[in-house]
Amino acid sequence: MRRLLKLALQKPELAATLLLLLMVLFFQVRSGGVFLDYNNLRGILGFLPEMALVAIGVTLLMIAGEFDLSVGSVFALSPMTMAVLMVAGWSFWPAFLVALLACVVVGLLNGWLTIWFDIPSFITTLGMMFMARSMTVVVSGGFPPRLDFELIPEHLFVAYVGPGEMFRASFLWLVAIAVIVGMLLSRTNFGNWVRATGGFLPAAQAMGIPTHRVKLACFVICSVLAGLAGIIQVLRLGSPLPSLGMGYELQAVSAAVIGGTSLSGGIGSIIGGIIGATLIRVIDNGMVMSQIDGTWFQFAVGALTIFAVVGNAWLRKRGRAMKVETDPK
Amino acid sequence: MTDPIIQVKDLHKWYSGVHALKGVSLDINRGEALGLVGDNGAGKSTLINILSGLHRPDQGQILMDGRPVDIRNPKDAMGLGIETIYQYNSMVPIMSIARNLFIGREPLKFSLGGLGWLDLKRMREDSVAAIADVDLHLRSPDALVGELSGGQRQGVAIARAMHFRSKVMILDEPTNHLSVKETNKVIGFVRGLRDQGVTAIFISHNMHHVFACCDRVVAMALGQVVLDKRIGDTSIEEVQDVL
Amino acid sequence: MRLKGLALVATLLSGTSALAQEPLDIVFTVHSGASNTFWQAVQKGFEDGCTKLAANCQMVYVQTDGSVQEQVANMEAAIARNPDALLTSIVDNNAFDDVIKRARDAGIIVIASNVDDLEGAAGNARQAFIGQGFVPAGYSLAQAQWKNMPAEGDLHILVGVSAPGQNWSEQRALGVTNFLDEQIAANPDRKITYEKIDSGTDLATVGDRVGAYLSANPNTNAYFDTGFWHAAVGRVLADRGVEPGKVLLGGFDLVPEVLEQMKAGYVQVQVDQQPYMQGFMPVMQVYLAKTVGLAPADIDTGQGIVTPDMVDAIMELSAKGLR
Repeated sequence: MRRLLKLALQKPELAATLLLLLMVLFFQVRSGGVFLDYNNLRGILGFLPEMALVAIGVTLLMIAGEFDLSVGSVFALSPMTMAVLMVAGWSFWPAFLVALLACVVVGLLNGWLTIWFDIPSFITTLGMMFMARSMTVVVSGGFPPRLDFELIPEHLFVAYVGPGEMFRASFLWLVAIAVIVGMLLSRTNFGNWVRATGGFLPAAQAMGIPTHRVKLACFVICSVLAGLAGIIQVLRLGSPLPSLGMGYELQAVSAAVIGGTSLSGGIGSIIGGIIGATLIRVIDNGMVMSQIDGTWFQFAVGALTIFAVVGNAWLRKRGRAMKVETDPK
Repeated sequence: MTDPIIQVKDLHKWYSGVHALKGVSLDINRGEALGLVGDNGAGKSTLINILSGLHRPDQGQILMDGRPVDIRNPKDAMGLGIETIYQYNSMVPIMSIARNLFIGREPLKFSLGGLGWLDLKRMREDSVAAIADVDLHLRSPDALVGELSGGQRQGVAIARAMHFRSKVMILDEPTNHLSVKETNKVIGFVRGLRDQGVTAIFISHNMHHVFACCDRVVAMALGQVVLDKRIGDTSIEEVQDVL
Repeated sequence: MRLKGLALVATLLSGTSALAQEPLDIVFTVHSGASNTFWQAVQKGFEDGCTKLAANCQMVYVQTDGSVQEQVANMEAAIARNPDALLTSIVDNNAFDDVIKRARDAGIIVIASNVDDLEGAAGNARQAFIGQGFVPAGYSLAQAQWKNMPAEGDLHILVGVSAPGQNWSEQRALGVTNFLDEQIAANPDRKITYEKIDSGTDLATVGDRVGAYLSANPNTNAYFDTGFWHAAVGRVLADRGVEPGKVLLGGFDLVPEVLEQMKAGYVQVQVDQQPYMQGFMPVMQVYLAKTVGLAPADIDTGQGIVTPDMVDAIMELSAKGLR
């Protein structure tokens, strides 16, 4: 039993889950029992898939050893592209596919520039963040196009599904994609290559892994997931504004790190990233309920986030330090 | 007895303007343990990197089993049966032993276009067997390589090379950072390679280690071969004088 | 003298800037990033004005929304080119004083647009302000919405400060709370309360935060946003099956999302600051200053309160970027 606890504490996702439960409990008490009320939970679960999908992409790329700061801008560029095409007369699915294709292009550019010119991805994607945001304004022609929701299969993306109408279809997308990417990472040879590339690039290269192609693939997956998330948000909230997704890149990296992803690569988990994203949403939402003064709000969110990361690291250290007899072999 | 498995003919390599290899020619005989010595900058790492597939020669030819080969990348080298145990770059510390063993050549349950589902069971079983074969007893194939000692890591690297049936095993400074006990193990292992029909290239700056397990010694300096003799025909002092 | 006067009038009537040998050179620096939809209407007004005058115009946004330092740097770069005029928003009482003075000393016309120094004309050397007074606008919004609130009983109101610390947001909120404070004083027999939160500038975030607040405070009667993000709150209410009008929503700036929500009945009042005017009028004033020597004058672009019955007409204009 003790051994199980030791193993559990060392897994970053489990430590993050513990913290999540702690936070939920804390807010439930502070809000006088309202935090977990039906409507509020529904709201959180509606927003969560959009944040979490971005976090999944960023996590995967960080495991491969690179960063993508342009996800927030791609989050806006993708639905804007789709909306502009639809206003021009295209039907939903072709517009949707072209929007995702635009994300593929951004991902390839991010990857190619980083790898070919050997510059830190932090810088490449920082530049892309500005460029993609600007492209979004350009594409919109200055004015956000109106989407005709008659032409959009909302039920596939944002309609409420399941018992009690608690979850939206986007949540199912999140689960499916989380499973796919998670399996990709842990059960395929590609996943092995991703960890090796991020974990210790020289060894990966020396053993013949096509590290450039691995990184490129991760850049593309990251951008596409961000673009998909943006489309989902626009389908949920109705308007493709050029200002969507601002600041999401930092939240996504925070989510990944809280979930146990290492900033230096190789270590991380998809589940951890999702839990991290959930934690961030819970903190943001719960803080409102806790009657924190408006001017202290940002401070409180930041402090809690630091607490979450520190708590995570501390729990893992305790787990490592636990004295358990190892089996003599 | 001189049946060359690898022949290197007049190899030249330039690195950022430096002439690192100046016309190196060498025969590596089948089943022999060749010791490669020299100071830093002598060119031994460059020669090894070319044989491992990390770099390509600017001029010259490499023959394997009498046929000219073009080693474009590490995969090509491994495909020819050349396995390298690098000084620093063999293992990914944050990954498990099993995953490191099969890195880049993972056994797949089913695959499409090079990507496929890992056969984790086989990876685990084969890892245990491979490690046992080199007389190493480790806790579990799921242990992270980063948790192992230097000698244990070397052991895993060697187990990996053996598992993939290398014809030629290159060991780059394998005894660095090892304890006395671990060093003796490695030396004994290199001697044993001959019995298994594996050719070994043993790079070291420690003359004693080289003389303890090799059949032949080649010394390099400033990008050229300066000595090439059977161990029995020379002595440590002679080699040190040349360098 | 009479001939000169006739020539001037003739030029004005012909509508060309023939008197000015080269085209007018005007730069407009703002405190916002380019992805803020509101500014697109301002830019359209600006560019339309410039087109009419065949002037050379440039609008300069900042990279970091709200960054005063970046805006000052942009202004410095702008006046280095020695344009005919510098149009700018003034979001800080002191940071722009120096660069504006230097611009005026160099003979450049300086007109403030959209946001003004809190000290007004006394605050710096700008020649006029064309825009909306934020505090009066907030006051008018609250006043208009007050008519829709229940006439009796307790009231609880939420005010969402979109960007705490930023001039435009704080002042609008102040206008709203000023009005509310008056009502509290005037109605001693009723329990009227209000609260301010950091609501955010991202649609999804605002929707989530206000949604959370409403869950915790189900007796909330109305929500004021200092921008247009209450449109997301309308969505949240619709998702929860709350009928339009049960929680009153009001805010600033006409963007399509808000107009949609007005049609749906969730948003009752909206303040329009007529951004097109904020871009167009300064250009005209520059022209008049340069050609006829008229001194630029203040223009209050309005506390136009928009209500649902006006929506259809506005939507058309909004699509063309005019409102």
